[in-house]
Amino acid sequence: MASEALATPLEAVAAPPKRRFPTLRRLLRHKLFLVGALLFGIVLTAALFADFLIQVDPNRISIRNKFRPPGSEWIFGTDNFGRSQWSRVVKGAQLSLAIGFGVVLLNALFGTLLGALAGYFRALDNVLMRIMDAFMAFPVILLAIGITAALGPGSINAVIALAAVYTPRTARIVRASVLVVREQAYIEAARAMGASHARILLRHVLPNCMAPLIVQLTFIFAYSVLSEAVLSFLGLGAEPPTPTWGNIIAEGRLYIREAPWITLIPGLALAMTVLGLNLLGDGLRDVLDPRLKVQQ
Amino acid sequence: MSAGERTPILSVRALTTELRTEGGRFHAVDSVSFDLFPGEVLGIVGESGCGKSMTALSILGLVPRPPGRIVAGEVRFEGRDLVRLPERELQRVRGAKIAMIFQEPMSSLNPVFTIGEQIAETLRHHERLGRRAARERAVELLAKVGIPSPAERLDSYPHELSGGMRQRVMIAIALACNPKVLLADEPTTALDVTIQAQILDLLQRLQAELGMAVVLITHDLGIVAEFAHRVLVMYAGRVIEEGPVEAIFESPAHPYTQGLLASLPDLEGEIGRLSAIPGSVPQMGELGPGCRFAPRCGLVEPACLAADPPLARTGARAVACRRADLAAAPRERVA
Repeated sequence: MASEALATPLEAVAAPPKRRFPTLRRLLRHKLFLVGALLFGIVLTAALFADFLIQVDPNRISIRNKFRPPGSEWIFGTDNFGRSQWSRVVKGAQLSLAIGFGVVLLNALFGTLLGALAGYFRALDNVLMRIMDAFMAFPVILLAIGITAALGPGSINAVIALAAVYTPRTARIVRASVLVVREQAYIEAARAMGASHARILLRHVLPNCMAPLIVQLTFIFAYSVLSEAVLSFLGLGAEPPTPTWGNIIAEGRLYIREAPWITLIPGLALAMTVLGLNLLGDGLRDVLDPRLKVQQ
Repeated sequence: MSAGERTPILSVRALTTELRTEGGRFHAVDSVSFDLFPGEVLGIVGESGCGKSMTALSILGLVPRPPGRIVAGEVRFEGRDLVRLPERELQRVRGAKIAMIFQEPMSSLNPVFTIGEQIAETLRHHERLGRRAARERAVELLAKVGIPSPAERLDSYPHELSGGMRQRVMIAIALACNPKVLLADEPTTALDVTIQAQILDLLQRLQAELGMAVVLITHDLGIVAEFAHRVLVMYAGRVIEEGPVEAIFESPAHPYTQGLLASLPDLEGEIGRLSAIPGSVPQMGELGPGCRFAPRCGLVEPACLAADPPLARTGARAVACRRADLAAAPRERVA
């Protein structure tokens, strides 16, 4: 553009035609992103419209109909109590996504706060990040089990535990971006124009750290859906009879030879959600990463 | 327009800024003193690393700390000493009364906000203007700095503008609150030569129009000759010569200034090698007790190495050199 301005008188440089939402356009050309969006979209739709999609109460026991294989009458078959697998898996999607979303929300809030403070105020950096390191020294599931064991089982406690486990990762990512952004010339320029630290952090630093954060949060979403399934498989998530993918698999594993669909279907739902979210995250990373943007 | 009996708007006295590096501590700005008068353009020239930018940053208390720290001196502005002003008060001076523009127009604008938002931010922050009023002022400002169709440009993002346009936007932001003093740190260095001329013209026009005092930091002597009224020559953190621009260009007193002027290409003379000052700027850690320029100076004598000469004033001019003779013979080559 500099050469353009050099060659033509300034008045002749008309504003270029504005392309709306360039990031969205690039995303829509990213094939794997679209596959991810489709997979996750199916699960999300099921979760959002669960109450319209299920005819049979997920907890209605009908011993007469137990171990019915998937077919025209029971789409996903029935379990050992003759409960509709369709109802249970769809209802389970609702809970899984709600928990995933809760974790992402808490994680975004605390991860950003801690990461921003550590990255911007150098005096806090060592204290905060060493605490984060201590958290990260534990294996994810082990720490989550430890926290839920201390708090007691239940979906709210699972959210708290998973948020606590994943927050240090997000804080690290945010801190790394803040460290880069705070050295940019426009931050110095903002200081020279009289902006306070709070204003610089909120208005100038954080908006420029959003791209890696968004990508990270998609992955955190996937991990927390998966970890929640592990927790409820172990009996530390939502308590039965509330259906979650984890506890459906846990109950169904006893009958895996006779009725494999009981474990297989929630397992597939889980795989689909995690794969979908990972593809979404990869697509977002490709599109939002400034280093890749330059080449396009 | 030179220093008359008028009162200066900005007085810098013995300003000393220390930098800590792995190699030790040194004074990046070493007892620098100068006055800036209303409506005056003061050029600060010197090689890279001589403390020009640090001086500007020190005035506004923007020296990154660590590693930097102002260890001595004062900056008098409107009856207050900016060096001792608390950060909150200083924030009210920055951008509103003393504004600054930087060398890198390509990266001095926040990439995620439109230029309109960025101009409006300053106005809303310092002048408490409403959203609409700030937007209207932003359009006026863009028009004033010569951006075509300013109303539409307001919603452009920085990456949609060329370097010259971005520097115009930076100037618009700097002038948003009608500052009394503008610190321009190498405002044209990163630009194409033709754009440089346009930006300088613009600065010159706005300076005259608004009656601002400007501190113009540059290593380009041509820009100083054209734009500045008075010049400060810095070397290794100190002011070594000061005076009206014509006088300095006619008869530079300090051997370093003479060397700088001699290294300019001569339009009338024969085409040949450009003359250069031998050696390079000393590493700040390795300064001896004597004159800082002594190792590169052609006129050096033993006494030069014993003590650093103070800045001696004669009328409107001042020079820090034992061997300087203000009535020195006119130079052979005139820039």
